[in-house]
Amino acid sequence: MKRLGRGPVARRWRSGTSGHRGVRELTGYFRDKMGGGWLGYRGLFAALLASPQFGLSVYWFTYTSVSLGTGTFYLTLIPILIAVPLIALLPGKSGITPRLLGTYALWALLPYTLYDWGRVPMNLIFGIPFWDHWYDWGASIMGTSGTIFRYDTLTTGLASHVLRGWGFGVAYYILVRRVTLVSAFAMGWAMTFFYWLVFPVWVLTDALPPWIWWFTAWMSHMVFALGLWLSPKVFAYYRKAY
Amino acid sequence: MRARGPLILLTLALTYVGPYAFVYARTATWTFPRIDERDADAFDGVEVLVAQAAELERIESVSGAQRATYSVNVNLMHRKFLDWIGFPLVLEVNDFTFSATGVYQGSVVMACSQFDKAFDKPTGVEPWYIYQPLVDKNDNTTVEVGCTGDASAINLASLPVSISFNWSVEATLVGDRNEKVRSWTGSQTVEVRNVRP
Repeated sequence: MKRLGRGPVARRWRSGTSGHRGVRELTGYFRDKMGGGWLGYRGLFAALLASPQFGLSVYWFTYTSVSLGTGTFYLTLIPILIAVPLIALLPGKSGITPRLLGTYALWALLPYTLYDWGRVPMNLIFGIPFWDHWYDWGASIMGTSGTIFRYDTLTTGLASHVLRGWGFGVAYYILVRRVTLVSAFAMGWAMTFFYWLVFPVWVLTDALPPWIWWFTAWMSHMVFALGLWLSPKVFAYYRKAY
Repeated sequence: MRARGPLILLTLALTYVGPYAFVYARTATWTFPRIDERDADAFDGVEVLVAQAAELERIESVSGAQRATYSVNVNLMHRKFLDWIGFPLVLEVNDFTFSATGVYQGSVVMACSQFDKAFDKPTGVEPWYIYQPLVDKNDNTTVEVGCTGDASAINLASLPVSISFNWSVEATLVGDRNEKVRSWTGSQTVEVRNVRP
């Protein structure tokens, strides 16, 4: 006989709970106000802190007509300025305290760095650079005229890239109550699909990419996922060691 | 146990900065040299082709003299090139200056001059399906140059006739990271045709 265990689905199965109530139970995690579910404060804070991507999305979806500087100001700087005091003011509502936010901010430094490490061999072996867009982003933020291939545009683009990777990391840690390998890879896959969809359609230089581009995008996001999972462990190890 | 703390911090710091140190190093040793090389190849690949026919379009009286107006097509070719990541671009062409003289039986029968501030090119703000045809379209750019001369210098009844055509072109070519002023000169035979209605 099939074992159903003791989870909410099994309880509903045994008691013959109505479908409506079953759905409510299943979506409870998202609506959980005490823990600030995905449709509550956790979702809001995650969205506000993942906002570096929103600024870039507007830049992409308008085929760069809206500058990345404008996108970053309205859709990144302002959301983060809203998120920080909200998190400080409402720690009891969401379960996210300023101290926890600080911890997540530190954890989120590692995944995007590993993501970039994952791309280094792809440049050395296949000649695929991972910093080609940084010049565009930097030039768009700075309003550079003339050539975009300068060290100042590269540096600005790099800062923009780092901010985006960090934002995704913080959003992940806010959304999940417990960091697991499964949820980290779910995040990695979600980011991969987003990347696969957006770049070939809205980013001119990545239209009709070769197979190695698809592979590199997937592989680096899997490394990012590994970083999401690994980072809390590294920091826990550090705290024990020091 | 305590000694391991700084070691972990150092490892983390190196992990953080590693890929970005790599990017700056590769920019200096690979990206910029590669761009410069591709720009130089693109500049060298541009050619000018002047049509072998000048068309007599009209004759008009100006201060008692008969002035003939001709047109000659000038082609600036091979503007398309692949950038450092293999993406197709079109060279920017600015301050295009063309001048020429047509000589027939030892006397100058026409003089030509043309200046274009900038040639058309894709902006890069287009989606791919618009951008790609624009790249192909702007690979070769044709400029219709106007030439004028004394209509009595050529016997119109004898057209078409061949004349000696001496021309020069100067343009500023702008690539990904570099620009270059290039000039071309040529001397060729051009057939003058009467296309007046």
